[in-house]
Order: sequence, then structure tokens, then C-alpha cells
Amino acid sequence: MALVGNPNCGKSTLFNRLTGLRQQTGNFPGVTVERVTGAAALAGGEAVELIDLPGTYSLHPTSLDEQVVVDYLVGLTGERRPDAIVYVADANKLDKHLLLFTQVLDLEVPVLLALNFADELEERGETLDLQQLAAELGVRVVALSARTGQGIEWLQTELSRLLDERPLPAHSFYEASELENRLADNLADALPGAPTYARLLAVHHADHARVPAALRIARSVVVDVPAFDSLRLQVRETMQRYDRFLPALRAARRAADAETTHSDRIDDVVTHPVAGPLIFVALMFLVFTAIFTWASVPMDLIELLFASAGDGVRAVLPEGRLADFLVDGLLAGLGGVAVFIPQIAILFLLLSILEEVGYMSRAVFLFDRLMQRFGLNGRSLVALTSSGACAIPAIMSTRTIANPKERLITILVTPLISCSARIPVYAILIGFAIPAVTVWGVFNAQALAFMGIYLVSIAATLVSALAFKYLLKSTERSYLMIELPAYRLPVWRNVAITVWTKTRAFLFGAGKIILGISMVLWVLASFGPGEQMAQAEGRARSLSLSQNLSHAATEDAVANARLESSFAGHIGKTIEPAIAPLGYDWKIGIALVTSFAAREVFVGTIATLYAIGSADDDESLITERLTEARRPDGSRVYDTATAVSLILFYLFAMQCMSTLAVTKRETGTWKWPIVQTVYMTGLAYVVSLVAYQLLS
Amino acid sequence: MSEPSAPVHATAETPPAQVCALELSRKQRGVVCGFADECFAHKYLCMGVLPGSQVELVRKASGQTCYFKIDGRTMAVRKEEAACLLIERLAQRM
Repeated sequence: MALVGNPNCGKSTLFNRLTGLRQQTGNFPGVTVERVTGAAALAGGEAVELIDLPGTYSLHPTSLDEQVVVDYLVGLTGERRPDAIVYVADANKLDKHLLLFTQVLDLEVPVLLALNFADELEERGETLDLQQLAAELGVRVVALSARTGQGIEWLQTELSRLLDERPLPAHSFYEASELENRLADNLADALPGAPTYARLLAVHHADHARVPAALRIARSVVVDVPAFDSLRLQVRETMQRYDRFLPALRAARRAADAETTHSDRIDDVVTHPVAGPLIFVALMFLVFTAIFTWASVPMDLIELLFASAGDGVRAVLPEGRLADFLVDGLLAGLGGVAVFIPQIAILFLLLSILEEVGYMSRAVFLFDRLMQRFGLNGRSLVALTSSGACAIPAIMSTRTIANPKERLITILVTPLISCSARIPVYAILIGFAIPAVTVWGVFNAQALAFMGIYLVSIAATLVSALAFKYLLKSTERSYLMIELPAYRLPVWRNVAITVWTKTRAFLFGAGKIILGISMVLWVLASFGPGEQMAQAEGRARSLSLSQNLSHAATEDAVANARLESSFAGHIGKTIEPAIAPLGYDWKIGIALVTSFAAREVFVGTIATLYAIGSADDDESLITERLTEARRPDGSRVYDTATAVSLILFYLFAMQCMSTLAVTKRETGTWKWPIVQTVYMTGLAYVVSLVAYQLLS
Repeated sequence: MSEPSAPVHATAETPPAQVCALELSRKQRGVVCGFADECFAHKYLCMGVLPGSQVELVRKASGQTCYFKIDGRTMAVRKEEAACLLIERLAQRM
């Protein structure tokens, strides 16, 4: 069974009402449009599979989202058509919302009309004669409010009845022309069993890559007649439908006068040319701060939990490969996934509240033109701002961008915004790059540099977006034309379900990949070619013994020697010639490799490399040791040039496998994560190279 | 609100019958009388913007993205999209 309706008709609220948490999210075959299905409870307690289709205005699509609806309802891509359709319409806007309904009627599938927001209808003093409407439209009608739950039981009863009796719609509001009928008939062999209108839709729209080749070819033959003008026929059809259903609607409705609403008054402020952008910046600042501050406690707790779980495993198991694998490989990997959960949950909590109340479409309105200049979309702004905390939820939030090209560009450039994981790296390195002096009397030079880092990252993001705008081809016409829904209090059930499903999607989608790569990194750092690691460990132990080192210092020296002779160490040495022009030695090379697990790993890795002690991440101690680090010629490793070069490298390089995993998940192919890695890391290399060569 | 000053290209005796929606001034109302681009036209039709629909320009954002109130429903459209919407101007109410 499928839920169909216009955008903002409250379809998803109704879907959440009917299915609760029994939902699965996936993708429609071949596209990244989200496919949400769930088990809906009917009157007798039985359940039926319900699919929540993207909101659309018409079965003549103008975006990928809408195309998917047509594909599914007509069965263009070979998927099974629904057995029944629940058409959801806003009872207050029936004159707009019934166009798609009349198209759905012609698909010859049992249809039930659910009138949502029926409670608001009464408040506005409008009356609707449901019986007359049902008679005029030829289907059963239910009035309900998905927000309050009023009428839901009635709907469930009618659904059971619909599935038992399977009545076909009694009326049609469209009479196809002779040409249309002929074209549709010509497609009968390619689409057996489909009603005439479904075939006609195939005549118009079965020309994209996801349609099976046989049908596509049959269609191209059928439409190869001079009289076929797709757009003109579509316009004619749409006009005829309005002409026929509007009188039927008028007969059943007593309308009230429109008046200035609360929404208008709110919009006087929120969309104001000056106040509007300020409010947006303030809101995003709030979201950004909330992610930082609220998430820090649960993140510390999660880290503590995994650390103590690791200690527990070490206490129970004998020392050796198994314990190492479980603690440093598996648990560390799981911890690396789980630690992002608080940030993701909080971001989606706040974003879904803003979406629910209707704010997001206003932000889109305000910034659409600015973002368009850079090949982005008004909605990209939300993703770019959120990625100041973490790119993962930010990339997940791009699903609201309808145009595929604008969405892809947003995904590609989002990781260039400096995320919270880079902060510990900057914090350590900035001391080597910029002296802690006061400039212009009031400003701390290091704080200014910090701000400069963020400005550079924003500039890089916009410039890259602009580059992709010209590099990527787009066949789809870009529309804005969005409805600005009336402001409403959020439906908390919807907010909760969004947070839950997005977090779960991250955990099981990206989590698997992150876990896998963590384990690979563990293997690289724990094993070395041949007996080299054992030999290095032996040498380090005898050296420590001869120097009379303490137990802790010995263990640090051993860990250092083992890492140096591991595969990761060899990788570090192998890439040293490539990174030497950037001012890095092989130890930094290892840190670059391990940072791929997550950038903040840099701090832990160099702590190990400079024998600070793996348990001790104290920043002042690390700074002290780094100051003492010397090159073979006796000069300092961490001089200004190297520190600036490293900061720039961390700013630009794609070093986050979690982000790559999410990009893969959201774009459906490995192509885009690879493009992301190549362009970002290439940019990082060039910029760091230039910076180091100029400064040293 | 007082009567807005007449647009530059119109005289008081002969108000222009048709303008594109982009040329409306703030809070000015009109009625849709046609479309200049078929592709956008169909999108408008699907969204329920028909010849005869009541249009009011609520405000314009940077880059002339328009915020319209059409038949009591609020919509945002790009400059190019607004340019395709042909409007018959109504005398200001109030």
C-alpha cells in the first residue's frame, strides 16, 4: 500500500502515526531517493506494508524525487505496483491538492482519500460535506488530523475495508485525446496489464536510465510521430483536470475568507532582508554551540565506556594477539563509531525541529540566490553550517536538496569546512606556527589565527563548489518554486522518529565501513614484515635495560620501536620522500596514515611516536616533546613552516573514513568518495607545499 | 497603507494590463493571466497556480528571489520563475 500526496500535506506525520518505529529506510533502485517503508496497523490489529512516497504535485515529474513516484506507481522500473493507495490531502487546500488525486484515480488502483488537518478546517470556519465530496469524487473519504490522532481509527477501519473490497475508483476527471489513446495503446505490449493512463505516463516519462531497455526502446518508437508534443499534452491534461474537479469540489465546500495569519506576521520578521539573515546566523550558531556543548558529556561517557570495556577485556583475557585485537582493533573501532552518535543525534534533533516548524523553507528562500552562484542550493547552507561540527550528519542532511547536481556538489565540498575533530590538531600545532602575543592591543594572535583557519576553510569550500559547478554536467532543470508552509508547532513524534532513523542509518550504514577500516589500521600498526617487529622490540628492550630506564619509559620505547617497524611505520617511511617537500618526516607520515581513521588520532599517534606514553594525551606535555623533536641535522622538526604546512594539510585533506563511508552511502557509488579524496588531498598537498617552501 | 506611487512606465490613465510578477511592487496584488515559458508554466499549474489565481508579492530577497502569496498559500520562486508569471495588476485594496 502506498501513501501519496503533495508536499506539506502531512503525509509523513500520518505515516509515523500509522507505523511508529516499525520503519525501514532504503533507497529506490538506482537512485539515492530515500524509500521509507513500514508496517501499518489496521483495524483488526493486522499489519500491512506501507510505503511513504516523496511528496509531489503531479505525475508529470520535474525532479528526481517526483520521477521516483511515477516510476513506482506506474511500475516503470519493474517494481510491483501498489495494491492500494491512500491519498493524503490538506483539507484546507483541496483546490490545489486534488490535481494529483485525479491522476492517481486513473491508475485503476483502489484509492482512499484521507483529508488531513481537518481540525484546522473547523477553526477556520470552513465546512466540507464529506458525503457529497465522496459522491462527487467516487472514492471513500476520511477526515482526520495526523497531529492530534483524531480520525486515525476511522482511517484504519476504512483501510481494512479498502483491502477487503478493493473497489476501483468510480469516476475519472480526464478524457484522453485520440492521439493520446493511440500512443498509449501502442505501448500495450511493452507494459502488459497496465491501465491506459499508466501507459500514457510511460509515453511521457519512460525515457530515463532506470527504465528497462525494452520499454525504453518501445517508447522511443511510439513517440516518434510529429504530432507528439509532450509538454503541450501535459498542460492540456492538467488544465482539463482542474476544469473538471474544481466544480465538484465547490459543490461540497463552503469556503471562509482568507485573512492575515500568524504565519504572515512571523514572516514579516523572519524573511526580512536584514533581520532574516541575522536570525539564521543566530540559529545556526545555536545549533553549532549545542552540538559542541551538549555532545561533549555523552561523548566523554562513550569514550570512558569503551576504555573501561577494553580494560575489562584485558583483565579477563591473557595478554596477547587476541586481547590486542579485541581492544585496539574491534573495541577501538566500535568506539570510533559510537562517539559520533551524540553529535549526529543532536544535530538531527535541532534540524528536524526547525524543519517541522516550517523554518527551513524560509532559510532556503533567503539564501537560494547566493548559494546558486556557487552551484549550490539554499538548503546547502544547512549542511555547510552543520559540518562545522561534523561532516557526517551534514552530508546526511543534504537529502532535502531536490536537484541532484546541487546535492552532489554540497556533499563533495562539505568536508572542507573545518569540523570539530580538527580542533585538537590545530590547538597543538598553532603554538608552533604563531607566537602567543597580543596584537593591536586586544587580540590574541593565536585566536586570530584560529579564526583565520575557519575563514580559509569557508573560502576553499565556496571556491571548490564553484569549480564543481562548471565541471559537472546536469541534465535536470533546476527549480526553486517551493511552498512556504504555515508555521506550526513541531510534532514531537516526527522529531523523535527522525532522530532515531537517522542515527540508526549512520550506525549500521557508515558504522560497518568505519569498523572495517579501523581493523585494517590496527593490523597495519600491529604487524610488520617478517620478524622485524620482534627484532625491533628486542633491541629497544636491551637498550632500555642498558640505559636503566623505568618500566613505563621502557614500554613507551618498545611501543615506539614496534610502530616504527610495523607496516604503518613502513608506509610512513615509504611516503617520506613525497611528504619531505612539505616539511614532514616519517613520524608525521605515520600520523597522516593513522589520521585516516579520524583526524584527532593525530594527537594520540604523535603521543606514541614521541614516547610521551600512550595513556597520556596531555596537551602541554605533547607540546613540550614536540619542541624537543629534532631533525637529523639538529634543527627543530616543528618550526613555523612545518606547523603552518601541517595545519593547512589537516584543513584541506580528506582524512576521514567516516565521511567517505557516508558519501558512499548517500551517493550510492565509490566514485564520489574517490573524487573527494583525490581533490581534497591534492589541494592539501599543493597548498601545504607552497606554504612550506615559502616559509622555510 | 496609502496608494503606492505608480510605476515609472505607467501613466494614471492607462495602467499596463499585463506585467510579469517580478515587476510587482511590494504588497501589490494581481491576478494570473498567463505564462511566458511552457516548462515553468506546467510546474506552476501542477502547484495550483492557474490563470485567475490571486497573487500578492509579499517581499523579495537578495537576488530577487520572490515570496508570493498565491490564493492564500505562500510560495518562494526564483527570479527566472517569477519572470514567467504574467499578472494583471489589481488596484491596491485598503
